Amino acid sequence: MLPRRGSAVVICAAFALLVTATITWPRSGAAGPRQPLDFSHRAHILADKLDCEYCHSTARRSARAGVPALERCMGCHRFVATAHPDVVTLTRYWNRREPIAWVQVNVLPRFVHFTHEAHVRAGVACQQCHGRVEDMDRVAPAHELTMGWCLDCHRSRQAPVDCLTCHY
Amino acid sequence: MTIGRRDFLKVIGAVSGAAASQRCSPAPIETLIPYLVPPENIVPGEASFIATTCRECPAGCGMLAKTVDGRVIKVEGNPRHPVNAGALCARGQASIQSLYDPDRLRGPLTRGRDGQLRAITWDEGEARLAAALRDARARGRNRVAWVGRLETGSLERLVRDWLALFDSDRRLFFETFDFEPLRRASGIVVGRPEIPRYRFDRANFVLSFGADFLETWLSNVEFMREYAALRRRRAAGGEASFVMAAPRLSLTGLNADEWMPVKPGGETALALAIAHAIVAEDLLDARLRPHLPWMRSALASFAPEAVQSLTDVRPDDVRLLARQFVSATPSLAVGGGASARDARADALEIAVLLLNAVAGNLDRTVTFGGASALDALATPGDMRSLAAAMARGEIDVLLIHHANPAYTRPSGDLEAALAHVPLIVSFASSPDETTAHAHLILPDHHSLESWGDYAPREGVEGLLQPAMTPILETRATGDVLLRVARGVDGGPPPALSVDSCASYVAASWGQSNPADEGWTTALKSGGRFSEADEIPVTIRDFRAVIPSVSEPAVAAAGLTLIAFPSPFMYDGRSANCSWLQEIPDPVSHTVWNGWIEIHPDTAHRLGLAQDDLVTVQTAHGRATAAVRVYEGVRPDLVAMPIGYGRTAGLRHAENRGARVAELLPPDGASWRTDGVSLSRVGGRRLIVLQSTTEPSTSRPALAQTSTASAPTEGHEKEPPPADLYPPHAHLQHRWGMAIDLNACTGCSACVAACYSENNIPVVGERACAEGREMSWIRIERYDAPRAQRGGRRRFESVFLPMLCQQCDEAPCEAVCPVYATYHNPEGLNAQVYVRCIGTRFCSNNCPYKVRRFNWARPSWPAPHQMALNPDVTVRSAGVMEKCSFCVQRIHAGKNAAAREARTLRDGDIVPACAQTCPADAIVFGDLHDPSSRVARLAQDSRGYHVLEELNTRPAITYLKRIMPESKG
Amino acid sequence: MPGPSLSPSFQRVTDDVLRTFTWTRVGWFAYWGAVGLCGYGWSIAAVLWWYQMRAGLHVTGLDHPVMWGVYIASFVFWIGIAHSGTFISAILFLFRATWRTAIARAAETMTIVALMTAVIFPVLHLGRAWRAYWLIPYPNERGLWINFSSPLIWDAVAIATYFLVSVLFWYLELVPDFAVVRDRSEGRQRRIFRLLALGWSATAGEWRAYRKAYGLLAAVITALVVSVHSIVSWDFAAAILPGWHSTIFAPYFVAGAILSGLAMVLTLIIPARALLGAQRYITIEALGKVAGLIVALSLILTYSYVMEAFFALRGTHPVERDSYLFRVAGPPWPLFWTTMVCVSIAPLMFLAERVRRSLTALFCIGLAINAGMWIERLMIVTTSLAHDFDPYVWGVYRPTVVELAIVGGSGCWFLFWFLLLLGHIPAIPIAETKENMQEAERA
Repeated sequence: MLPRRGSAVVICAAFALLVTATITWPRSGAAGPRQPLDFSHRAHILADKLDCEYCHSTARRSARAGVPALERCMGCHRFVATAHPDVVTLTRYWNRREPIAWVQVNVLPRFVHFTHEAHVRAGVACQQCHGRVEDMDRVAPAHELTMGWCLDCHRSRQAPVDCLTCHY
Repeated sequence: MTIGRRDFLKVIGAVSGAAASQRCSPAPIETLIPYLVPPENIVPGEASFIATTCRECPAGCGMLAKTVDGRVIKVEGNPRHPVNAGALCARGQASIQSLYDPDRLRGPLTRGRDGQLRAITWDEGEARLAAALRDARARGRNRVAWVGRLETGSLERLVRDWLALFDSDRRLFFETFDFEPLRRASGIVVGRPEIPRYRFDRANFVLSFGADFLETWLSNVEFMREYAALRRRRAAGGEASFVMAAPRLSLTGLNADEWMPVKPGGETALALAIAHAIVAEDLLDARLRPHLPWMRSALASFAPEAVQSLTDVRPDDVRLLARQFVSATPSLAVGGGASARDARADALEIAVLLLNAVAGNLDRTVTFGGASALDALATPGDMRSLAAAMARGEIDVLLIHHANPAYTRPSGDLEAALAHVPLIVSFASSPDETTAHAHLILPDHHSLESWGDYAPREGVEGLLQPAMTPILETRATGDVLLRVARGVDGGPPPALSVDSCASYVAASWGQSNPADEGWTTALKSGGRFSEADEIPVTIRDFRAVIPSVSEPAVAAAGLTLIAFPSPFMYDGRSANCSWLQEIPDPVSHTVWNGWIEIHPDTAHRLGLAQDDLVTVQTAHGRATAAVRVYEGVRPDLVAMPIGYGRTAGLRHAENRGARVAELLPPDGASWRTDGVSLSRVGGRRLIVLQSTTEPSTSRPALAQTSTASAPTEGHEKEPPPADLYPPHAHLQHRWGMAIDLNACTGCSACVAACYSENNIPVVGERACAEGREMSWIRIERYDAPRAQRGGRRRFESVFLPMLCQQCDEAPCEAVCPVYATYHNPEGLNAQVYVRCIGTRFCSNNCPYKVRRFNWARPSWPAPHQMALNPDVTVRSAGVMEKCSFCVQRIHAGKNAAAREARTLRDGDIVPACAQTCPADAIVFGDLHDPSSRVARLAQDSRGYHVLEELNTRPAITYLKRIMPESKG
Repeated sequence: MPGPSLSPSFQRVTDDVLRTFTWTRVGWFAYWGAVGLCGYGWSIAAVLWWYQMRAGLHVTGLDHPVMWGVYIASFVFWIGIAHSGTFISAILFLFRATWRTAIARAAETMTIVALMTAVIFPVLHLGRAWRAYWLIPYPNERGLWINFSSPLIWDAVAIATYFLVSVLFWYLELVPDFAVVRDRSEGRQRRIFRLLALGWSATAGEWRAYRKAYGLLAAVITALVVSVHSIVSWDFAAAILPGWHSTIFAPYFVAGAILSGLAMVLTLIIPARALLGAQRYITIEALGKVAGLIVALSLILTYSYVMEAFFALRGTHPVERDSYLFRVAGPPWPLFWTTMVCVSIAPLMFLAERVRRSLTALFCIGLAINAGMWIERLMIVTTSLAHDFDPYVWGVYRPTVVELAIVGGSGCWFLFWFLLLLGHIPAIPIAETKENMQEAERA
């Protein structure tokens, strides 16, 4: 009789353990989503010494950082590394007059109103939220963009923590 | 018992599944699609405003289209435009809905042998049109006819030249409400056949004979602004009042201080009787002395006693009115409106003009020069002769451009005649009763998608420029015309050899020569604005025409029917805008329905009750709709709104009320008919009212009034009662609002603006009946007990815009268990949708009942979702929502200030409701900034808080309406 | 192991009480038939709830402004029912009213089950029921907390406490009886009851501890009887709504609660004692005494009705007055007057000895009172909302089939658990009955 009850206890414990594990298992995968063409941030930042805002040009004046228009890419790649297979793909897009549908890496839920402008103005470095993009080839989310994570930073910088700052 | 491994895993699976679903449902793959080539000065995610012109009605207000990422999400008035000075009416606000109309025509169509429409390509369509025109020209002169909405400037010229190319000058600009009598009258009286300008802001006393100048008469937004100025003067202690003489009390009438329920058709006699009284008592303007003799004789037959049988107004009332009218100079008399429109409407306008003359208002409140675009409108006579020509088979091609005569004109001649036209081409952008007759449909762009220009009056030239690329396979009519012209043998004349309508417009605005700044400035400011200088006039001896108005209108037995334009439906063109269907009609509080208005006594006499379905029978036809009992109509009257009973298969407009045109004389010149009988058909159609109850008089009304001379006590500043909690410290800002009940006319433009700005869902007829409408702001009306004095009625109606009061001691905040609603540092009652679990306690505890609950998941018929404001979260089912003082605009304002590294200025932040208010009755700002407008108004002696005794300490101060001194 | 030999009458008690453990064929079918039927009933309601969550609350009759309806009314009703048990066992125990013994067990079981039913409704009526757990103060990375100034939170706390203590009280009283069952059974049943009896061996020491604990709990729970429904009443009294915002609410609700509870005792016990054949123990006298109590409480309630009218009509606030007149003479007048008949007038019949001694009368009037109390709650909740400060948002409320079905389902849920529990425990406190017999013999 006793061993039976014991086994029951063991099973229940294991069960509970597994449940908590499944709920709290970290989700952030290693590499980001696959993109239409293998654009390497590392190459452009470290090698070419490009500034983030050279391509994401509206970060300073809009809610959105902005994904560069194809024209911006072609501005260089008409002449630079034209033989590179990905640049060839790029040129093909350009010739087809077809925009590239990049897969969004850092997605916020619709009920959060985040604006890049305010954060750039406050001198928050891009890396603070996006991680060391300069080390990434295929960009992956550096943080799970949870509310608690946002709040930590807001608190430490005496930024507003009023709900209406983001939720309206 | 033991758990098998499989079961064990199953359980785990279930649990972890549940765990996953606890998080936000797995988001779909979001993609970021950049521009190929970025358009200049458009920043992704930032709104840009494109100046254009509203074409919902001929008033021609200037409009700014707010576009984000290439789609229009809201329209607002253009502050630089002299007509509307930044405001828009409800219809203007809803024009975005006609752009995203789910029933819009998606491409060119042709009607097959079987009468069914089928899609064709544009080339086919244009080819067919060209061929037909070629034949028409071959067959002779004037065999092509154009019936279109009022156009001026480029398109007007384009159409003229184009028709000339096909050897025709049959071009009618058709509007349902033409103001021909005004034009004719001024021609006769002062020798200038043009519609004068009326200056309500200059008048101290306004007397309207049925002219609904706050709704549909001429230019409602402009007049509302000017009328508000008149009311403000009264608040400042000046003399200013407004008497309405009309058989029915319209929204304009409800804003009057007195109502004279004159007999239908008796307006003319009343006006002349007043003139008679003025002349008789020798009060007339000095400049008219020379005319005195002939006037005496001409007016002799209009002694107040003599015409009492026609007007049903007591003589001494007439005399009193006459004295008031001349003493309070400059005064202003206006006449017209649908109810007074009949075969002899010119007589009324002549009488009104005469009245203005004798009171010396000409050149002061009634000015000439600056001809109105409406002067170019086709008259009912023109339409009749066209119909006749069609019937005789003289028309081969009939082109219809944004006009719907088949619906708005009475049945009869036109429909019959249409059958004799071989080819009817419609350029309508959404289906209507006239496209139902068309053989070829070449849908035009919506005005928000097209180039053009419109000048409501001389000097005020508004520009139309596309605010977004067309979303459907439509084509600008101008382009179609030009392409067809290019096809004609011998090629187009130089005037028409232009590649596109856009460049045609640009050219006519002098884009070609770079020296001329006109074009670039026009693009920015929405047009070229100047005021034509006024031309002084002198009245002529028109005794000849006076007798013609003297013969009495013989009132037949039975009731009289008048049709009146609904302020929301206009002539029916706005019927498919769901906002306008769902916002309660300001007068009847009806939503989603047409109705038949009768007086309580009449209802009692005929044994009819509210909501009963009745059939109205006239000499010309019959129609069935539900009864609305209303004290604002004469007992011998049946009143029906124009614009309901659409049958074009528009999803929001279908099966709503009756088409009143069916009941009217076929001449199309009269909105009134006698000998009407009502009969119950049994059954009831619920007329859905937003308020389930009529305002009660058992308690002090929430809308307070005062008089200019009343002791200015203001709202009591007694120390607030002791409180357990410390008062809120609003460190930086304390947002507040002041609403001037003295200026508010109840037009409901703010409600429409709120729907548009805050993504408020439309719930439909049934849900409204269940009291589940979602509007964040509602217009309440309180009618004080009416003091009857002789034939003159004091009608003290006050409109009260009710929205979240953003209380300091908000009852809603205390009871929310999860802080979904709370007091934010700037004094807003924040409502956090994501945190809300829907206990609904906040709404129960809100004394103003301004919170709305999402009973179901909101939905928007495609493509309307494009109009959603990206800055405002779309609420899901089961959460509470309410007015947020447009917090998204507060953020935008702060952000803009920070961008320019400056502090906020008063007026940087304007909520949607305040922005669009034509009367400027709503003022928003920071109560902490003593210099701000709102802070000063909050201290105004007229100020009070609604339900102040509850100590909720609202952030909204209402300013009492000033009633005229009740003397004599 | 057989206990010390019992005197024949004691033996008899035990036999009678434990008869439920050895069903007759008919009894078995009747019992499980009833249980199954109730189970079926509430599972339908469960499906409807799922539908309501999918479709949104527009499937209910709730609207603007009447945002609370039958759900909240039923919540208050069930909480009320939950008051009788503790009242009977605790307060009457403290007053040493021995007649209570026979019905105590049933009443307490009713309390617990009623609470299990009541707590469903606040969750059920939420716009987003799946977020109900946000009402629990748990630490979270979002740094969000709950608003302790909201009466709804007070509710949650009060009811949780009440549930816990009632269960303890109920279980404590059961321990000696479980022991009896344990001693008289074998096999699996014996194993189960061994666990439940917590190794009770009826030593003098144990009895002393038992008495102490019992008295203590009785004292604690007596306080709760008053506090819980007072707090529930503050859900309304703390709001500023005319018809809700009233200081009289707490005592008024408590009285109403106990009244409805006692009425429910009658309606349930009378059939139950027939089913269990416990006529000998649950005597008409006992039931008559309950009826007596009912009269007293109904008089208290009537008094508060009069007071309410007095404040509303003699008060200065026009809105207060309006909404009271609306309640009494407006469209919802049937609610008000039904309440008056069922709650204020019907119970007065108990003043007659004959009525107190007639089972049918007791049963029917009890039923009427329950109906009346439910309607009263509905009236208080909805009529105040329908007719408050702003004439433009006065409204009406008509519950839909979905709502009513779910409410009916809650009744099934209640009976389901009541029968299930009462059928598997000694339905009458054995030990205490014997005690009373001893005392009787001594006297």
